[in-house]
This record gives sequence, C-alpha cells and structure tokens, in this order.
Amino acid sequence: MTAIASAPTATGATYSAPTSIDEVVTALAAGSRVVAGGTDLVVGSRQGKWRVPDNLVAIHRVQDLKGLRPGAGGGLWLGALVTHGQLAEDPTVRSSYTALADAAAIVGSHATRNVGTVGGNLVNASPAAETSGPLLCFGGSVVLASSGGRRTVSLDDFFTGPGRSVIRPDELLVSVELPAAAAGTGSCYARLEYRRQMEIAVVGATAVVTIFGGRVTAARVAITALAPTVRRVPEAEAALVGSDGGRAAAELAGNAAAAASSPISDVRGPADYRRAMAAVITRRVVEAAVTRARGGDVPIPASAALHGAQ
Amino acid sequence: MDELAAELGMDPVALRRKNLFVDGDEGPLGQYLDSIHAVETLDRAAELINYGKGNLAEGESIGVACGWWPSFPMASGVYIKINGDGSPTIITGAQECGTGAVMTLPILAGEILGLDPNSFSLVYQDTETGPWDGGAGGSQTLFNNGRATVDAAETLRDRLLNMAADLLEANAADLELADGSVRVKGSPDRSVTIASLASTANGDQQLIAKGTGAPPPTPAPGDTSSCVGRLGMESFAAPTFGTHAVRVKVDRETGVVRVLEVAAVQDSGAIVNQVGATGQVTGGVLMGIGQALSELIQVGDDGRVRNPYLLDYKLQTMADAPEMKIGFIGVPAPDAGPKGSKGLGEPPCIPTPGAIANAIANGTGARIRQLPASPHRVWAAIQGLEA
Repeated sequence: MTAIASAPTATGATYSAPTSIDEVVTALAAGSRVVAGGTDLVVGSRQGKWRVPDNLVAIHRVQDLKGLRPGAGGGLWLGALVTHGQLAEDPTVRSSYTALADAAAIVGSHATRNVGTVGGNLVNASPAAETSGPLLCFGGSVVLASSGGRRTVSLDDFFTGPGRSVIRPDELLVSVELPAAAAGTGSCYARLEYRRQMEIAVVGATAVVTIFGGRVTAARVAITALAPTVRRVPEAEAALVGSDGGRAAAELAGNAAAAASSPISDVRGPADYRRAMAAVITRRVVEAAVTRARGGDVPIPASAALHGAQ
Repeated sequence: MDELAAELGMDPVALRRKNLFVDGDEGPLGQYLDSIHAVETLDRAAELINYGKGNLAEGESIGVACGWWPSFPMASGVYIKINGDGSPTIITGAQECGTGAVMTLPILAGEILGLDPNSFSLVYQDTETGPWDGGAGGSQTLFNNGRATVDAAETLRDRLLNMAADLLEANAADLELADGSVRVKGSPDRSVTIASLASTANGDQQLIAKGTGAPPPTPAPGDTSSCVGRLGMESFAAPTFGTHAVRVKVDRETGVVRVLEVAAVQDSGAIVNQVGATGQVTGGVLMGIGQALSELIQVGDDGRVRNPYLLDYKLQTMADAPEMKIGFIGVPAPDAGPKGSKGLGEPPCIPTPGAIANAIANGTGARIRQLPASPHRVWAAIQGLEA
C-alpha cells in the first residue's frame, strides 16, 4: 500500500491517491471528496456549477474498485471504476444486459467513455445520466462503504433529486450489483439524439422485457431526462405485462411514459416536445427490447438505429 | 426558388437553370459577367446526387440550392527572400485560420522560381513582421495575397536570371529556372544553382523582393444607392458560384434530420491547391450542415447567452459527417487571382443550409422558416401540417 498524498498547500488543499478502500473511506471521513474519471466533477467546475473540492481523494489506483465479474446468483458485479467503454465492449453486458451496453456506448465522446466511470455516473445523479435507467431496470443495487461499515441500497431508492442521492459525503460507492437476467429477456436503451457524438439525453427511455410463451411476463420501463430523477414508470410496465409485446402494447407504454414525465423547457428543447418524444422513444425501446427478447437483432447502440441512421 | 417552382409547376432545378447567370449577363449593379459557370455547378451537383433518378429509400428526400460569393479585391503584400544557403522564405501579412490558403503560397512561388514548394519556410500570422494584408476573411487570401506572392516571385526570378546571365554568358531571355537552378534553355548542363547565386548576393544585391499585386479592376460605381452600395460593386469582381445537392432522411416522429449525402460543386476558377480546396469544401459543407440543423446561440431575457458551451451549442461532429462528393469547375477566370483562381474560403458553406431546408420540405411538406431546423422545429412544422 503506497498512498500518494500531497502536503496541504497554502490554501489548505490536499490530494491523495491511495490504493485501498479503507484508505479512501478514512480520507472521506476526514472531509476529502472523491474524484474518479473527473468527467463530471472537473467539467462542471469549469462551467461554474461548483468548485472542485479543496480536499480530493483520487480512487483510480484502488484495484478493488475495478473490473466486471460474475456476481451472486448468476448476476453481474461491476466495480465502481468500470468505464463506459468497458461496459459497451463487455460480452456479458452486451448479451444479457444489452440496454446497459446501448447506454454506455453513447455517453459523451470516446474520451469521456474511456475515463468516465459507472460509479461516477450514478453518484452524479443527473436526470439525464445514460446508465442510470438500464441499471435501475435491471434491478441493480449499489454497495456504499464508509469508515463505519457498508450498506447496500437498491437503485429504486437511490436517487432523490437532480444531482442528489442517498449517498452520504463520507461514503464511497464501491460496486453495482445486478441480479441474473431471466431467460427470454430483452432490453434496450435509446435517447433522442440531435447529433451522433458529444451528445446528452434530451429524452431517454429504457425497457427490459421478459417474454415467455408469447406473452410479456415481466417488464421494467424507465424514463431519462424527463423527471427530476431517472425513474421507473409502473403504469408503462403494467401496460406491457400480460400483453403480446406488440405495437399496441408498446404505444400504451409510451403514452404512460409521457403521462409520467414532468419535463422542463430549457436550451435543449421545450417541455411539450419532450413529452411528445417520451411517448415515441419509449415505444421504440419497448419494440426493440421485444425484438431482442425474441432473438431478433437490433444493433448496439440502439439509438443510432432507432433514429433512422444509415 | 423551390416554392416559386412549385407555384409555376416547374422542376426546381429546371427553374434555377433557366435563371442562373451566364456569360455576358449583366449583374444586378450593372457589371458585365464573364466566364461564369453557375449552370455547370447546378448540372454537375444534380448529376452527382442522382437528381430525379433512382429510387429513394423510405423517409429520404433530395434538396438543391445555389449560392454565390465574392472574391474581395484589396491591396495585400508579401516579401520573398532567398537566404544565403538558397533556402526560400515567404514573409506574408496573410493569416492562416485553417483554410490552408497561406499554405498555397509556396506552390505559386515555387513554380515561378523553379523551387520545390516544400523547401519554403513561411513567416505568417505576425502583423509586425509581415507586410499588410486584409486578414483571413472575405475569401480573399489566395485572391489577393496570392497575386502579391506572384509579383514578388517574378521580381526575384528576374534578378536571378540577370545574375545567371552574367555568369553563364547568356542572354537572360534564353535562361529558365528549374529544379533549384538557372539553366540555359536547351542546354541544361550550362547552369548555376540558385543556392550558389544566393551565396554571392550580398549588400544591395540581397535576394529580397516585395510584391503587392494590383487588385483587379472593379466595375464602375454606377448606382451605389442600394443597401450594399460600393461594397456590392467590389464584391462582383470575379464572383464565385456553387451548387449543393443533399440527400437527407427525416424521422417524421421526432423531427431529427440526418444528412446522408452531399454533392458540392464550386466554380472558384482555377484550383491551385487541389488538396487544400477539397478540404475547404469538406469543412464548409459540415459547417453548413451545422447552420442548417444544430447551431443556434440562445439568448435569455437577461441578455446572457444560455448555451455558452459546446455541449449545447451543437457543432456537427465527425460522426455526423455525410458522404461528400466534391467537384470543381476549374476553368481559369478573367481578372481574378493567380492562375485565374477565385475565392473559396466562404463559398462552400453558403448553399448547404438552403439545400437541406429544401430537402426537408420535399420529404415532409414542412417548410422550415427559421434555421437551424432543429428537431423540435421540424417536428412542430410536421405536426402543424398534419393537424
């Protein structure tokens, strides 16, 4: 264990880059704040959203936060430092948690995807975060560590508002755990895209559907950039369960998603347009998830294909 | 033009062909237009995009637009220096902002001096060091600074020929510059290298020349009471023309427009630097797509820009770049820049937005009146028509 730490500067700023979770949570208890990929923290400070904290603990040297591996009960364990690029390339994610690959593959730019992490994407708690919807719909939970111990929080209970979640300042997000995907499950995440790279969700939707005997037996639907947090839409899920997963059911789910949205008007688009697009994008991801559940091919990332790309 | 064509029941390309300037036409401010190839740009762009032929895929449509732009005549200066070791340097007041126009100057000087363009060093961007130039604007760098470069190079060429004439005991008129040497035409073994001439050129014999290049004549003032006034007259020296034809796909449910293919044909006279010119049109088209679809400065009621970052002021990215088919008419223009070249800085981003707006209208019936044709505007226009 070789911790790299700087002496406090004249302004009292400190920076350390330890190699163990214990050292990180000790630093957090002493008032330091985490920096991982820095794609939100640093960019946001440049935009005047916040100041970079005076006392930073960088976690990129902590091996126990890295990698993907099989999780409990046939699920998937994701270290907090797994990058979007790794998620988009991972064969298990692409085959069993396809919506997550759809989402990770379109975050920001190539550079963002190479350094931005799944832990950071969740903790930043943006209503427009790409990976939040898929992780929520796959039934994900996060492990939060502090000097006082660890707790596990379901993502259903994690987000509390724009940029806000239940994580405490002294806690580190260690991992994300996804349960096993049931046989016959297909999933899709897509967003409305004004251009093909360097984009942020103006409207996004996730669908995870399980089909058995020609009927939808389970469904999860979430909306992105349409409410104060990424959130599930139980009415859309109810519209799908028991249906044949066809166009009519997908439209009902889309309408339910639009009804559940509370979009804002901003530089990225007016609220009425966003609400209308909630119905369109949700219907499209449901149809794509059903296609995948039935073994059909929708290329990853689905966003490009669902926008009528070449 | 497309709407006029619709009113007339004409094909929009045919209406343009009937109305575009041709040789001998009189411009709107009375100037005589000569060696104008606007119609050829229209016909070639239409051909490259397969206009009126072939089946378009579901949701796809084609749009065409023409544009013109001046080559702005003004004074400009260049020094060329051949150093003691024979290496040439161009010192210019011209500015390089990525168009490659300054990089074209050694091609012009190298040809006149018999020197490899790659052997030149360039001093530019420095208004203290270089002679005056109007700057990287007005599509004028090659048009004016290129003429100044030719002027300076020709002065140096004459000096070199006279120096070599004494050494080679030949008439200067019988000498030529090639491959870094001055040699007797027809007797290449009777030669002297430019480097050796430069090494002996001391004092007031130093090989430094200045070039200015008189601006080409501008039309008589005529009526300058119009809104463009005198500027309009000068801007009609060696006008450039271009036609862009685009194939787009509109997602009717979301209003998202993807540009799939652009054919861009420019009449900018002779092309001096083919690589640079093609790059300039490629960039101009991509900027035109941004104007058409995504670039908008939004200002709040408090007067502040609401999207001062490149995340929300949306330039097109490399991933958005469509297939481009780029063509040049390439015919030298009279009273123009070096070799009969005309401006190419701004012209290639003029016609693209109109062509895209026309393609959207052709595909959806929705006529977008305000650019950019952002997804929610296109969606709203389509909704309005369908309501």
